[in-house]
Amino acid sequence: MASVAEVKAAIDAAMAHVAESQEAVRAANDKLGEAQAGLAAAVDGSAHESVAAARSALAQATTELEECLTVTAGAMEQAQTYAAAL
Amino acid sequence: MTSLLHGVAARVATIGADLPLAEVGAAAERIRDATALLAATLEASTAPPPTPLLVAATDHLDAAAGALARAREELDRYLAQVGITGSSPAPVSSGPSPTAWADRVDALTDHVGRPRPPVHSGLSIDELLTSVVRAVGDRTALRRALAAAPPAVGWALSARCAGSLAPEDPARVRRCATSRLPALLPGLDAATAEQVVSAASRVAPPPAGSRPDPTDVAIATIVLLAASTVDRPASPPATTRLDGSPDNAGAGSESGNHSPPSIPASGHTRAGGPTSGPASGHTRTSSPASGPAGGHTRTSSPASGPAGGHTRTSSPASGPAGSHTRTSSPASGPAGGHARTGGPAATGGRAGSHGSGRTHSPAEVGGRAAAHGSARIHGRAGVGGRAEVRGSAWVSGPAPDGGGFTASVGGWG
Repeated sequence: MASVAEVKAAIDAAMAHVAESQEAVRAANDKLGEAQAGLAAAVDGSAHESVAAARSALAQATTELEECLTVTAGAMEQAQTYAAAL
Repeated sequence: MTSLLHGVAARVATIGADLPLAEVGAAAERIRDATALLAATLEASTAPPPTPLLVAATDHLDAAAGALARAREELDRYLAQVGITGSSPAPVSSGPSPTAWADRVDALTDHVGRPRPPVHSGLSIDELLTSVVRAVGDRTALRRALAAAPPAVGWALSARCAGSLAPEDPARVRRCATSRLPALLPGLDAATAEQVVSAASRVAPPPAGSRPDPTDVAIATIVLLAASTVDRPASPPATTRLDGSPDNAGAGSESGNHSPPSIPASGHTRAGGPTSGPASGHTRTSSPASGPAGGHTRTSSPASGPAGGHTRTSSPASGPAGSHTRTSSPASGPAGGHARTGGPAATGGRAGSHGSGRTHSPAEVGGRAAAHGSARIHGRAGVGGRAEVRGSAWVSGPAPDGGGFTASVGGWG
């Protein structure tokens, strides 16, 4: 028979995964920022449509990663609140 | 000597190659792990779970990965259009190869290098589960069933299995893993097996030196659920009717010995991508049936023994009934999903129907019956224990006390 401690441990384990994911997202964000800066410098002066499309795609990726961090923070808070109420 | 243009090209190519697809993929994998674990842990909770937020996070990560891949393609196109090709570094592979699933199946079942069955692109999750349940005890058949599954179907089934392994009896799950997994999956390492058992038991996995291969975890989870289903011990069905009178209809049946896996979402899921969330089902039984019945079940005569898949049976059947089984006469076994009953039906133990259920003759349910969706019973209905209907239920015909009636229940009844 499962105990509350076991449920909390499972929630903690799940949140550890989420925390690892957040670290990976932050690392991705850092590399993405470097890529955007490097691309801006490398293609400065270019009006090529592929360059514009690439920059737009990178901006979208940045937005998605930021939103991912927001919702994972919400999920962690929700899980911690639930675990505390057990 | 390199030209200025080559210098620009090299910078752009490096930027494209260094885009953080691997990091985004790793983040998504962690989120999926967390989602599966939370879903399994909080399965019975009615409180708002954090899993929808985690699913949303995965969607954002998938979108980010798509945007990054698009950016890389645009940079490659730019290089090609300005006349510089071949200077771009080899793209970094992100994600598993298309054959990763079957490769791991071969490795775990010790069938590496042997002819592989073709992938059955139209295979549904129910069908895969049925094949695996049937193959428990036969490693070659197990390998054939798993290797023929499209990876998306395998992953989707694994996600559902993770939330369906019996949390009420962790010791039994562990015994099953100890007795079955080494023979069925000789290539599975002990750390991965322990992780699967821990997840099934809803406890935190022990700290591991290295992270288990997620594909191995997925395959082992499916096999463990199937083996656990086959090894499930008998349990006496509840025998009280709605009117409070004793009911021994299910007592003599062979039900309960091999309950099929109770998968949160059932239905006809086909290859093309993992699915999540409850799926609809449809339950009809055409003749006397008793005991748990699982999946799409139709039986044409009494049948006994494990039944699964798109199976038509013309002999007595009882025991584990997998998906897509048709029964037109007395049958026993857990029923979840598509079942039709055209005759008396008695269910001992727990019956879960996701979707719609129709019974055209006396129906007796001992234990707990849960119907998500709609349920219709034409004839007599007797329910002992607890009945839950999410959605609506119609019952017409004689009441247990002999009087005719028609009842309609909305919400929880």
